[in-house]
Amino acid sequence: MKLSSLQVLDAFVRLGGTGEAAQGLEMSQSAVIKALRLAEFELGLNLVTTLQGRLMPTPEAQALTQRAQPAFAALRRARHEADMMRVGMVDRLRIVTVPGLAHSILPPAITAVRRAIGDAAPVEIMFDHVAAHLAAGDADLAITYGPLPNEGLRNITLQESPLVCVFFQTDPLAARDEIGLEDLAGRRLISYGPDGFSSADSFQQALTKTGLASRISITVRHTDSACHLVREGCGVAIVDGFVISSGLTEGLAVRPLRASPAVIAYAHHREDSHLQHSGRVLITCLMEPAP
Amino acid sequence: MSELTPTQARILLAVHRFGTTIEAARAFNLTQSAISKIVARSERSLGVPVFERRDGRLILRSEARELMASLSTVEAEWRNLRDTVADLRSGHALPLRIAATPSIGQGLVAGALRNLLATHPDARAELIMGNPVAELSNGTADIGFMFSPRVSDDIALTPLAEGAIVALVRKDDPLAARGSVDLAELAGRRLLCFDRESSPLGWLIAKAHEEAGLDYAPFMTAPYSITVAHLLARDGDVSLVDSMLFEAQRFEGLIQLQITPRIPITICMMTARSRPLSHLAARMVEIITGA
Repeated sequence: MKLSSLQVLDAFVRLGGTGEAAQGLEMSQSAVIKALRLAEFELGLNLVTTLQGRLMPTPEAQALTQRAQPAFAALRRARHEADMMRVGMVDRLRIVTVPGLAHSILPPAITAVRRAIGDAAPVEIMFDHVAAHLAAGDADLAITYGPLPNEGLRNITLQESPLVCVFFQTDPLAARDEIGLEDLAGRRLISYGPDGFSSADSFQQALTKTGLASRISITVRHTDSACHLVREGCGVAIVDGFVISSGLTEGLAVRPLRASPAVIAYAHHREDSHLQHSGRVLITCLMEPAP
Repeated sequence: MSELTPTQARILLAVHRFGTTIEAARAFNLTQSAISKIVARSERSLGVPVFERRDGRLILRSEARELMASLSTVEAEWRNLRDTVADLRSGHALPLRIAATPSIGQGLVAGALRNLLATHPDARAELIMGNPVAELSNGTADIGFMFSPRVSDDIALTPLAEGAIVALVRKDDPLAARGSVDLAELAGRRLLCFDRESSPLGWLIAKAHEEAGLDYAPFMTAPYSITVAHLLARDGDVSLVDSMLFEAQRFEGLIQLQITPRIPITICMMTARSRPLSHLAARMVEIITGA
């Protein structure tokens, strides 16, 4: 089973035709067809069929490429590890997180860690599939709105914050110390959408409990986007209060939502693996609220 | 810089496990110099040295520990992929999904399945007794079989065999000894049959009644011949069903009579024009059509 044949098959299935695969792989269409025929011969499988005058992937080709994705990912990870060796980041702390926290409480905490342990703590930050990254050993530490129910993962509470509203400083709402739900009537609301992975996400639960979940008109993944949209006059952002420490809200007014349930930031790591020193220091720093 | 391949990953792992190129060469049935060349090429692909040469042995560099762990994942994933290829080849990975009405499923399809399993003993099949047109349109079946179906343009129809509508009566019925019966003679009997709107057979039978100047008014309707036959054993005094039912299954106490004039029916095979067939499904089509 040749890697190059599988890569051609993957492009053929993903892009939906031999011409498209040829374009994507920057090779000739006849070379693509030849590679597919060779793969059929090597694997003993029908991978290509003609349907309505067009070469199409068979169900076997689709099943094979779907199951090849973890193998491709493993090769990518190996190449990534080699890259990390080359740039001297083998002993890095690998953090997987969500954009909302990566752009608020994480940067000052990482700065504090580097200061505490002599600027010798390489860090790699990645997003998405938090639990999967931890389970696969691709990440040492996760920071989320958790908690994560997965067995074998430790949930550590870091900080709590209410939901806050972000709007123009000239907005009449800026005159209030806190914002009630009735103040948001008729306003277009901007907030984070569910990530589809963590059902126990404390941010989404806070939105639901306050009755705001169904009222969000614009969903974003990044706090930065939410603040930019507020500056553009698109509406009022409902985010967590951790954002105040980020500087993203500079020039904007931030007020807590009255009677908001707590949004909680959690750290997670695998119980069966030893968390390195820089990771333990980072957790301590993340537990200290920003001044 | 060429790309790291799964074979290179396996050889790097073997050299690490055995500690020498001689033993790795033995394990792969290659020469020692071939292994040395592959190690050198792999290190070039990765862009980093993986081993230190010490006293004739190749020792893993301390900073390459994570890389080696990721190469183990590559090896495991590629092993899984090879198993997937074997499962696809045997028909085990992609079950053949056939939707058929019961009398076709238990007769024609069961016989063809027996032939298919003779050459593909590890194949998996799912025989769905439901609405074949709907199952095919939803993509939950690969092939559908039913009598004289009404279908949309995206379904290809292949007529397979001719049959006829027959009458079923109980053994003690005065008609039981007759062998055949005219539709007109059934007027006034309690008829257990199909709905003219939802069943193609019901539509054909209703049409035959209209052409004979008779009312089609069954006192009870059911979707399949087999259900009708089971019900007749308890209630009603005559049923009209397809002639394949008795070929597939015997019903104690029921007698089959030919109908005059004859109401012909056709068993049709259905496939989706826009979806390629799996190898097993294509083989099944060949068996059924005698190709």
